[in-house]
Amino acid sequence: MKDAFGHLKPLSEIRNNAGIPFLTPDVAPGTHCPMRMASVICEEIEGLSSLLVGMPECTTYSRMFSQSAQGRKGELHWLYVLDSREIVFGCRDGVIEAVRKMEEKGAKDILVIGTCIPDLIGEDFESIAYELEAETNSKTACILLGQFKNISYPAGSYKTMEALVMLMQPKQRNQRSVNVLGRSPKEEHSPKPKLFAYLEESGYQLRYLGPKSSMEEIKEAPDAVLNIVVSPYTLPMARKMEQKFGIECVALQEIYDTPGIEQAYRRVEDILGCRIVCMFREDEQALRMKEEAAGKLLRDKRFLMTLRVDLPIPLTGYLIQQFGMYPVLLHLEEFYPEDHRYVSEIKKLGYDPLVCRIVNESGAYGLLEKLSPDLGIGYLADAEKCVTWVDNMLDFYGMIGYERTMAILDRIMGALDQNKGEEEECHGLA
Amino acid sequence: MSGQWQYWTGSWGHWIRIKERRKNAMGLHRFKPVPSGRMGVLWTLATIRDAAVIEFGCMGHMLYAGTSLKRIGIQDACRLYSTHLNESDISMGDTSRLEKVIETVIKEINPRVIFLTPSAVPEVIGIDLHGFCRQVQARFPDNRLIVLGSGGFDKQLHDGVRETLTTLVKELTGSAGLTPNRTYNLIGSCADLFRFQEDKEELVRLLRETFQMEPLCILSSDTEIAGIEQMGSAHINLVIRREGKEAARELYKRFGTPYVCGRPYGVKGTTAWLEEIAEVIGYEGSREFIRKEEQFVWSRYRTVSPNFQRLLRSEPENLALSLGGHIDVVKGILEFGCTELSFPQARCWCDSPAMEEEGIPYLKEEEWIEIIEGHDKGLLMCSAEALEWGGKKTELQISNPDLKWRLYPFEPPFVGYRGALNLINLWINSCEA
Repeated sequence: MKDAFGHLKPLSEIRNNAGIPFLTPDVAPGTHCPMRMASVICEEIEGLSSLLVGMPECTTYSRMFSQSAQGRKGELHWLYVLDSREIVFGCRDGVIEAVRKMEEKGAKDILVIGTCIPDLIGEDFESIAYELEAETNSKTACILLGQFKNISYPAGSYKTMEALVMLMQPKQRNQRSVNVLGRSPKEEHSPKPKLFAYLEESGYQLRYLGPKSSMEEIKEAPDAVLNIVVSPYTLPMARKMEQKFGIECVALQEIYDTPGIEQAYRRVEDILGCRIVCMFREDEQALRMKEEAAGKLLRDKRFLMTLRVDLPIPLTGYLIQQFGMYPVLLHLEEFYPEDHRYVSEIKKLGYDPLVCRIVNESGAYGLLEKLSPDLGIGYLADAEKCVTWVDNMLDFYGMIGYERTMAILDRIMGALDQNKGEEEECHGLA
Repeated sequence: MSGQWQYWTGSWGHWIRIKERRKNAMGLHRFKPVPSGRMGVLWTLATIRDAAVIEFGCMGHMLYAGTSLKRIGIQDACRLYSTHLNESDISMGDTSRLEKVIETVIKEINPRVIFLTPSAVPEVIGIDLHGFCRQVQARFPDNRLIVLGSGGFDKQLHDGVRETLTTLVKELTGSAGLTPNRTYNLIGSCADLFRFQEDKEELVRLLRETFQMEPLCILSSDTEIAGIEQMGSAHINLVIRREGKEAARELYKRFGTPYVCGRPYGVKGTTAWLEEIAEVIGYEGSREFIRKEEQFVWSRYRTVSPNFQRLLRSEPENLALSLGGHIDVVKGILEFGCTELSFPQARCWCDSPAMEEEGIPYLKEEEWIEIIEGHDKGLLMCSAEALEWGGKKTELQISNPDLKWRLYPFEPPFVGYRGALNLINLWINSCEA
């Protein structure tokens, strides 16, 4: 067992995203490239054009995500392939000319996405954007997404969303305008959080900004008095908006515990000047009762987290603090700067799980089983699992507050109950 | 005012800079660009069973290459791995990841041959994969390591296909004497060509029925390592795309195996191909089969021939062929349409500057876009991507990039007698629609 996990690091030793070791040296098939997320987001945002700069590989495969060269509203999603001369001398002139051509063809807001090779040769995309601003009428933002620097896909999302701030202009503040960063207006996979329904009933205009928003909505965003963040992918966007337009932000995506949620709601209350905390007392009580009931079953349970859990470190912190659960191993798709705080809290409580990136899904379960967990949380490729497993954690994305924590506990308890039932059935048959 | 003056906004220096940039913006594409040599290598290797490919590079590329290969119908063939790379690997030129992955792959599936390919990043930083391979091969005596695809940035898809076919033959083929029964190798059946599986099946059928010959190796779309190793035992090599010529020459040099180059399209074209093979192997084969196949196609053709003849007399432009794709595909279909059926030729193009011929030049994206935009009459056959964008009939697709999943490998072919009938069927339905 030592051989299989000897190369992994404990959570406390992780300083940044690049320091997360792979579970296995062989990558098959590996995780998505950040370029994918950027391409998908660009295709979905109405009014946003994109220019993907890279080698034939990136540009060809990007068409799997951004399938058409032209969007529904005339957006252009074009590709720029570097030749051998540009790899040596840089692609600045070619990219600038390409953006000019896109502008001629009607592109207004353009995101230039640099992939591995432009990042590797050190092309200065920031100055390209600066020069383009002076030369063209369109608004251009640039991001660099070399996968050797941005190991997994989340960077593609948060850097793209952050770059959109470069396309915004200051607006007159509207005291009733609130941005929700990270949920799309047409979100269907998860119910609208109660907080947002309540704010809307109270007369606030909520602007949901996510990949399905339009540039028109995004450009209106600086009129808000508050940004409520519901996704790790939009926190850098909120920080940038705070810096550029002075819009305060409350990040709710990483908070699972009742005192934390109450504190965050109180901040929203203070900024907006309306009653919020007292309106959710019932939910708070319901969560407390659920936690009490779950406590007996979850205490000391050894668990591990695998893929597609939005924020494994804050969630682990909650499960330890609230229930005394024992984290054995965490798959981290991304290590966010905000995670440091939770890491030290986990360490203070006397826990230090192993961390890894699962990049060979087919062999992962066989290895992880050796750690004898009582519970697995997160997606893992179609393995026949003997351990109780909560496979789907993805649909909690975009949810926040008491109801999200309750839903997560319900799912974990449901999996444990089902497993218990199956075990009893097995014993009965035996 | 001429188009260029609209850019003149300031000093002459500024104007020269802008002109320079216009020249430089050569890499701008709306559509998928011509794939790189590295992609050609990977797509050619990916169909070989009981082997593994390890790409030394960032993992995203292999993930998407794998998905693309599944889309074009390649299942359960070569196992694809990558190593991933991070900043320190790049700055230190560190190849230890690659060695570890080789170890793990051998432990997991123990493939007889492991192909090592670089992605664009190690190519830029100049990692010497050949040197690495020489260094570590001794550690893995039972597993052959072969490096492919380190050919530089000017290499395109077809260079990669050629390199792979040639290297496979050079590195893996051994001598075992001729097989007792008549056998052949099909060289150049590769996954990058549209309908590669169907075309291969038609050729295998023709050779089986005409000469009672079975393939030893179908390089590379339907083979395992053992098949490549015994290529030297075949009686003839059939090269069905020009990238395979070098491999056939190599086999001729080493084993004296004769070869025939050609991709058979049309009725006469297919018969001529079979006759050439007959001459080379010294066996006439079943003339009866050829006669029946020809008759089968022509009898059906006769039912629509009056329609074609009427169009050729009154509106020949409606039957003018505009074809774009691989040179051998374009040339073959063009010859069938223009020579055997007397259709007029419109503008045709191929997808590699190194392969252009008179009448079939290589056209850049902006040039073939003009053809598609201006196309209002005639039969336009090219990639699905271009056809769909131009609002044309995607059923006339003859080349990639494709837009669909191809899980069903039993569509009609383009080559051989069945291919000829398929083309006639497509053409009559298109010009009458």
